[in-house]
Amino acid sequence: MVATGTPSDTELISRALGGDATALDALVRRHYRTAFSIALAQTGSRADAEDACHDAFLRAAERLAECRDRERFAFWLGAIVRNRARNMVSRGILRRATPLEPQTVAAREDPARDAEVADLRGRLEAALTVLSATQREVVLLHDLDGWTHADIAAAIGTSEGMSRQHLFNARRRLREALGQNTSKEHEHE
Amino acid sequence: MNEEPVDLASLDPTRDASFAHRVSAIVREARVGQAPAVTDYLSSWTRPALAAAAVIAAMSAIPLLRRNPQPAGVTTAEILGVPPGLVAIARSSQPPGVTDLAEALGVEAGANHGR
Repeated sequence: MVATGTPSDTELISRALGGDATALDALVRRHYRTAFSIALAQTGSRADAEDACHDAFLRAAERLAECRDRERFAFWLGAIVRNRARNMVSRGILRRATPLEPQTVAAREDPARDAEVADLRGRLEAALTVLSATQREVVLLHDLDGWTHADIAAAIGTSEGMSRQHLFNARRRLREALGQNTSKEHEHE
Repeated sequence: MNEEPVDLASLDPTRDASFAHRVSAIVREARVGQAPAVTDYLSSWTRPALAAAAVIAAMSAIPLLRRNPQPAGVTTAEILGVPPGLVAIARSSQPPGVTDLAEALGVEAGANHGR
């Protein structure tokens, strides 16, 4: 996962524990997308996912010394994020913001392009609500964050076969919700 | 199987304009390796526990204070229903006679005589 020449998670964790803020910064940047994918899968809302990520990263930082298998930091962090997001859902402390938040979309030179991205994001977030939390987590980790089925299966406690099944169902339901023609996809199979 | 990925790139939080701000907020607030110690948990737990114990003690005292005090001069023997005559005999340094015992027990002396 880590490109050659860039410090490993193990090294970043050691440096962060030694008080190196830039190492912690790098660690957060590297794993934010993963954390966000897991949190979004659980909460179903972008704003709540961001809150869950924030809290989870702070908790992970506090307990960083307890991460024994540092090469598997992503899994350890993922468990913290998942717990935090589930707690937010069960305690009803969600903001439940509207799915579309144009102000969070990256500012670009082209306003038309910004609007297009915001529109697509809104439709995707709405479409994700038709999936189960597990389906959302699988499709987000796989299609947004590039995880393998082996890693997804280990993270959510299932088999690789079930991970593939969840992904297949999630993609089909997402495309239906987005109004995309799924018959074309079957022609490719 | 459907192997065509769904394009979820627009959901990528690292492409948000606010991403750098979010990361710096985490780094700024993080207390790396400073998880609360056991003593912190205990101290945070002890105060509410002591407060709860004080409330329970105060609540328990209310019915005790409201109960009518026992009348002065009532002896344990009276509470237990021991006849006053027997109490007087017990307090006396003299050995009781048959008549005294019979009176104390409310029995006629010599009632069985002649049977």
